[in-house]
Amino acid sequence: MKPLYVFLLCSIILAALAIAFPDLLLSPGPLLKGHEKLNTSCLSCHEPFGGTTTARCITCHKPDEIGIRNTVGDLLPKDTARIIFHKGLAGNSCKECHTDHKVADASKAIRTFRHASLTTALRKNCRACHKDQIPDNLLHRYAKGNCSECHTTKKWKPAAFDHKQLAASDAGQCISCHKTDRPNDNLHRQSDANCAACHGTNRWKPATFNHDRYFRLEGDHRTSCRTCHTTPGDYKKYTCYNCHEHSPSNIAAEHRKEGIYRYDNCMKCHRNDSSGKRDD
Amino acid sequence: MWQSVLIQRALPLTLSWMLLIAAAISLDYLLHRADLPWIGRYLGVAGTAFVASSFGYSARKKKIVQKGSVRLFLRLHCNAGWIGTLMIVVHSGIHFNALLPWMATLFMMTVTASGHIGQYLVRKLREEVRIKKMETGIENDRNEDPEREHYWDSVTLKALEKWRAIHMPIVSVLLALCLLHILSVIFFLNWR
Repeated sequence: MKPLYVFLLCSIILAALAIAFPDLLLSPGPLLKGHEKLNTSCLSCHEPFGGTTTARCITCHKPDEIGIRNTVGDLLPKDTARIIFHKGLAGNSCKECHTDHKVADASKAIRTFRHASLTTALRKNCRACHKDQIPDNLLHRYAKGNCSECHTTKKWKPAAFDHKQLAASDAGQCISCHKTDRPNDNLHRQSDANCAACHGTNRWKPATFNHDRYFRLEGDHRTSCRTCHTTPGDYKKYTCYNCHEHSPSNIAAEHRKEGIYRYDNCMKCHRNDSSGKRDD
Repeated sequence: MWQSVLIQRALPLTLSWMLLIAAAISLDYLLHRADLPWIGRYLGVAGTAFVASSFGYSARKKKIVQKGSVRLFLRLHCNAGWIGTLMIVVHSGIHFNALLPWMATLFMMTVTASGHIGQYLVRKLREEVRIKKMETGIENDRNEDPEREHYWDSVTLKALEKWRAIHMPIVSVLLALCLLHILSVIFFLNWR
């Protein structure tokens, strides 16, 4: 037989077989479990020369019913995240995530999901889908903002936390999160102040606390904070009357002897700071 | 034993066919290792172009192409066919499950094997013609009559007829399989 006839005969036979048994001759793999009835109906999903289109997907999978009802109208167990997720999607995006002909298990047939496919409103509402993934720890209980403020869309870690995201009322509660970060030294043991009084929110060091800027703690002044700072947590207030050397009667007597009657603000005259000026 | 004509001519061709399989497996492995198996998809197109170019030999023999040495076209046929087959076998390594492309791959390997046998026969017949020419004393006649040269070519071709009677139908089946595979891909592919 002439090669041309062999070619034509084979082409006709193979074309007929491909039309009769497309699942065997043409299909690149089995369809998903839910699609198994379509194994021999390629054109249910494929448009000739146009591939698979969303228009064909939504003839069965109505976007408003995803997560609520299945394709035959039966109610599904409530899955709020799935409902919100699919409702917000653009009209032609089924193929962005879903594919077929890979394996029979639907969950494995999902392509890499891209957050860019989501609508802007849904992108700003991470919790709509990720609410079950929020860790049950102090930080996440305080952080009320969107996940994307700290996390990227590719991985949860590394994350960049910014204290500005905390609510104003929570921002002053440093110790509720940083209890274990507090050093067990004299200075920190005595301090009732908020960490933010000395530390920044990016790093612990450098810290701004430097007592010498206000008053050098030397000689008899090397004493506990509470001797001078009697109002807990407020280190702007101080008193010089808390030691027997500076008793109110002594101070009054000494100052009146010099003709000084306004001596409430000790530091006005008795500066002893790092500028080196000392007026006592 | 190594001086045997059979070994001298058949061994390199057998090795060439086995090398084709080994190269395809190695290339496929490397592409998967480098996480680049998608390249295999495009090797199908490139391989088809190579195989199609190998048909230049048939066009030259049928005088559709008028110029160029037939031997050169034969060499092009063999080399382009070998490279094209390699690319297409790697292309098949992207694990499609349909019967049609697998049958095409199987036939492609068969056609390549048959091509190697043809190559062996051509070499063997050329050697026999050379010996016959030597016996008749025309071996060193550089100004040989073109018609006589054509006679010797036809002697070679006639001897190859039996081989062609098997090779060409397999090629025809392969072409039918490839055509349907390509058409089905164009028909179902997502072009957007």
